[in-house]
Amino acid sequence: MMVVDDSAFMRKVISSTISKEGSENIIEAEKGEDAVRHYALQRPELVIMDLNLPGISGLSALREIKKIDPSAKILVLSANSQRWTIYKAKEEGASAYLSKPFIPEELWRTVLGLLGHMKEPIAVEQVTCGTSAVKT
Amino acid sequence: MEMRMGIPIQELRYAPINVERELIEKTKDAMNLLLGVKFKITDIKVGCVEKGDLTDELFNNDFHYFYLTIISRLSTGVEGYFIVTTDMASSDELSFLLTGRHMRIVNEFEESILEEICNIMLGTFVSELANWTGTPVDYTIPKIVIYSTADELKGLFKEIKAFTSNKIQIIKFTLSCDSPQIDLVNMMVLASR
Repeated sequence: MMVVDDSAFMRKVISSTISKEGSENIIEAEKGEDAVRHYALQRPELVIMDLNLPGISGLSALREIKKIDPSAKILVLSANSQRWTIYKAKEEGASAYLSKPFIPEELWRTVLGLLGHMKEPIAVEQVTCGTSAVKT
Repeated sequence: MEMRMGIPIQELRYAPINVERELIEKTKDAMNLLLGVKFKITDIKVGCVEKGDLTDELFNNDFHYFYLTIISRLSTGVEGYFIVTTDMASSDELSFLLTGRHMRIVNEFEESILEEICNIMLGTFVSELANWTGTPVDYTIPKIVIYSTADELKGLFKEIKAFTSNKIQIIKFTLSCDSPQIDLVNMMVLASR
């Protein structure tokens, strides 16, 4: 999996949430450009992407990754929950959208759903709010 | 998708419900969830101020109180800034709540914690405002100024004042927590139309 967020703290919170549940080999990227490059080289099975990034935006990075691999699974995780932004992310091919702050269990449930490990389908419009207060 | 251009802030005041209160409550709820504490809203102000009074409005002439200032530029649906300020003790408590460690030195990681807290507060407030008014709003990655001094802050305010005419619209609110003691002063500054 790949975690893309400009905040070192948030990358650590997301990575620790995912790795606690048994997922290893997490690639971290701070910028959209890095995310696209890492994706082209390593093809992670899921990308967890922030939108407000330095350099190219998360939406642009999402678009570029989808050009490389139209079947790429991308979960957008952003504090921006404006309905146009969610709509645009869906248009660009986001698989799901969660808002920050998030409940760690909710993030993991969404990740499992996207990876096909849960029977319940995940709606792209899904927006949840919760806590990310994970001790680091 | 239908979009309206420009956020008519005055509509917030005459809406059938207290919209600014609703937006701030949502922001407070997000912070409660993020940090696992109970914030209360201790001050709300919505209105117009003269350009010259903007600095006093946020800082009450006590620049040294403010340890941390975070600024984001708003564009598209509105032209303005979102500013968050807080003191050193509050910054330390915020960091402690999320990491279990007190801040001894402010390194890149600690900065990223404070930036992310403000990013979530800003994102929640702006998203709620945009969704309520039907106007999308873009915002820049929050810029952090640690050990805010009078000169630095005056420089930032000079930049803010340069973008607008005499009257500036503001939405100002403070989120406070008693235990641990945290005060976060938020202000959205918008160019008058």
